[in-house]
Amino acid sequence: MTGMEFTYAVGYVDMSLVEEHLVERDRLQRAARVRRTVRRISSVAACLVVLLAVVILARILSNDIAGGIAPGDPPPDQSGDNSSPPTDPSDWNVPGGDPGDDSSGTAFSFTFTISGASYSVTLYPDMSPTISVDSENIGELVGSVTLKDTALTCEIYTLTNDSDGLALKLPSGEYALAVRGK
Amino acid sequence: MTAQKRHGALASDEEIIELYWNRDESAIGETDRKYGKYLLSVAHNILCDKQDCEECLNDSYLGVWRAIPPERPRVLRAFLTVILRRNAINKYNYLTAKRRVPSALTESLEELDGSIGSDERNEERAKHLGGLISDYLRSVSKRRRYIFMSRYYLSEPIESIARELGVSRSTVDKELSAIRTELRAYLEREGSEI
Repeated sequence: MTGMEFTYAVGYVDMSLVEEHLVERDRLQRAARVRRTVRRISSVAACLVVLLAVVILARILSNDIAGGIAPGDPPPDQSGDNSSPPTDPSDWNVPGGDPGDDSSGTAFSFTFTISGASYSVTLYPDMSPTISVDSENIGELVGSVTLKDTALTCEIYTLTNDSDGLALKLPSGEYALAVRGK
Repeated sequence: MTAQKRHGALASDEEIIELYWNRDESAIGETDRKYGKYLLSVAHNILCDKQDCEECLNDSYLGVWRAIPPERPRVLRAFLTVILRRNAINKYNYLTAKRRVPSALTESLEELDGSIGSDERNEERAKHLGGLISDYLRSVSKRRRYIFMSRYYLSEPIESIARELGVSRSTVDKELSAIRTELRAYLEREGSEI
């Protein structure tokens, strides 16, 4: 039997089979249309989710850059130059009390400016983290602060040359630190 | 037939059949409005040419006009499909015959094809085979029946069948291969061959 003979014979299948087939065809085509629509909606939803994630990520990153200090990073230098500690005593603003006196055991606060960026620092005695002071590098970097609990690290640039009458002299001891960039 | 039916909502199958029975020529227009697009798609699967499809569609409308009455189809769309398919297959044969090698052998074969009783015998044989195929189709699963009818009755592309069933093309290919094997065995058991 040739293919054409077979095709011709198929034309004589029972009419009820044709009727059943057309009903089933309508049903399956409707279902296929629904599947296609659902797929399109899912694709659009997936795109929106990705877009939303990108927007959220961008906002988080922009907050980190503009207002926060990322864990393990030094304080942001808005001028792009943080290689040199401030040498002008006018950059230092230590309000209230004698910052060198830690005998009272009270909180120790000060603000300072590095390359135009202002920071406020509060140190609480007898709490981690620690501040270490390197007396051999007078006039250069002498302090570093690590806040363990919030994984925040801040390098403090200060001057400790007493003979120049600089206001800040960091006492020894352990401190907790709150740092806020302004 | 109201003006609203003519210009707005589609007529029901019963109304269209009634128009044929009343020998109202608007029956053909109503049929075309309701099923023209579908019938063209079926013709396109077989003929693949817009002009041929339209000619085939017009021949089919004429066939339906002649068939109703006395016929009163239970499902108009199935009835239209059967008539259109036969016309499309005949047209396909006619178009492919025109492209035959114009040799003496072709001529002699055509003489043999045209010998007395040949067409009747062919139709009888086709009807007999059609009955056997129907019996076979009733014995297989609904899914296989659907694939067979889509592919071999409506000549739908395999991709289209796969899309409708929500499966891959290769799955439909495999099912078709299994159907052909089964059908061959079935027809051989019944004394025919494929």
